Amino acid sequence: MMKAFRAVLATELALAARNPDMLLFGIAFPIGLMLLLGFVSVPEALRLDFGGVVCFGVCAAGLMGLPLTISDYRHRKVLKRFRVTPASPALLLGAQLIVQCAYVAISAGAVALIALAGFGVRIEGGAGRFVASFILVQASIFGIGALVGALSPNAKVSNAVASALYFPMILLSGATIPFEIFPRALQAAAQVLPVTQGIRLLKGAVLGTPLSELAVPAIVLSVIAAAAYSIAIAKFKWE
Amino acid sequence: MGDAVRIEGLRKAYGGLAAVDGVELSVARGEIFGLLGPNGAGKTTTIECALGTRKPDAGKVELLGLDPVLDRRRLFERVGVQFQEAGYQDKIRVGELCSLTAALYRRPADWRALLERFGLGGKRRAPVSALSGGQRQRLAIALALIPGPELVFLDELTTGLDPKARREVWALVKGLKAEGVTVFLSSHYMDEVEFLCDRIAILKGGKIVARGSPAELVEREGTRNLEEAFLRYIDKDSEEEAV
Repeated sequence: MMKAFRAVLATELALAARNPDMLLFGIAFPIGLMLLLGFVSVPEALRLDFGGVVCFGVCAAGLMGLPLTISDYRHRKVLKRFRVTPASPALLLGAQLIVQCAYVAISAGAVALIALAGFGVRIEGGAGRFVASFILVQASIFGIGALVGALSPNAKVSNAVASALYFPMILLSGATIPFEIFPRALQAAAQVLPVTQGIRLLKGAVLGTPLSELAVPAIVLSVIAAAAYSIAIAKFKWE
Repeated sequence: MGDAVRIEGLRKAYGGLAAVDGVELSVARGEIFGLLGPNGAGKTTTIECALGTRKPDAGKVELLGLDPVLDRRRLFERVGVQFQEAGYQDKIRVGELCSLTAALYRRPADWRALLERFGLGGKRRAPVSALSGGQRQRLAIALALIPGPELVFLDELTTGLDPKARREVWALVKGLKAEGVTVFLSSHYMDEVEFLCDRIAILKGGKIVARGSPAELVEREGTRNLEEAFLRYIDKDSEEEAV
């Protein structure tokens, strides 16, 4: 079983390194964006930008990479082929989850390095709090992506739903364009996006905002994550 | 030793429409068995139910004496499957696909030797998507042999191949029989079935309308070849099995 999982993971990582879309959107784009904002923003604004940009890779991997790969493997019958072997197709899903987490780790790690070491951003709330918040954000965004991948009847639906979630979330939440420059009405509307709530948590960690003020986003994200994974697992379509 | 494949009273309906309607089949060890029928006759559904990837509404399936759902892990150490649709990741290379497949089994066959034997030894670094149709089918059969199986399922293995490539694939299947492997195949090419199969069953509208050796069916219908016998069976109004 371990031998099988290691082989599946090694293959999935090798395939991931051949995927230009994810390398570009999941890794190169957030790095470029952080560098750009670093050069054009005043330090006060940059601290806030960092909390958003660090989520860009999470959205790319969680809302695009994860659901699109799952529905692609379903569509190509890769999952089905694994069902007529002693291994389980769940190995493939597990390996994909690790691959997507690796994209996030590389992208968020590089963005953090640029912001912290390159532009002197300080995390007032402490690194531990920031990482814990980040993990919660990632868990909930990946949960949403897993749900899309689990339920989509075909690649077309998966693509449409993933895009409908991804683009508003990266554009309106503050992951790409600084949230603070949006008009009030748009800011209010963007509050419904889970990523907006996640970025609030991360900005809170950067600024050292009292945790009591962030109970709502923390609870919302936890509930989203729990619900999304439960439904995804219960309703997963193997074919 | 019991039969390699045993299917009893298999039924499966989609939205009230019966795709498979009371199929009974058995395949003896060492046989090449062919499941025939026009498109939509229920061949694929029968195979999928036999493999446990589709849940039948009723009936019982045993492969090598094991239940394909309950004993899945144990069973598929000994059964190789080639599906009609390939089922490979995008951009995967031949060697990667083979070594990945081999890692799924406890005692896999030497996949490098299999590739050599199937004329794909030089293709290890090639993306699967760059192979020709014939090469891809040979690869599919090589993959089905990686478990070192006692039983192999081949679903429409030569569909889309040119005549030369089909002959090559036939020779490989005959070779499996010589090694004692039981082969369960589906096809709608009568020349192929006549050449390869020891016994066949013809499916029509989810029911088996004829079974026997190709020669027996030809003789029973008094036709010149299996193709004509097949066409008579599927044109008959009666769905009663001719015995």
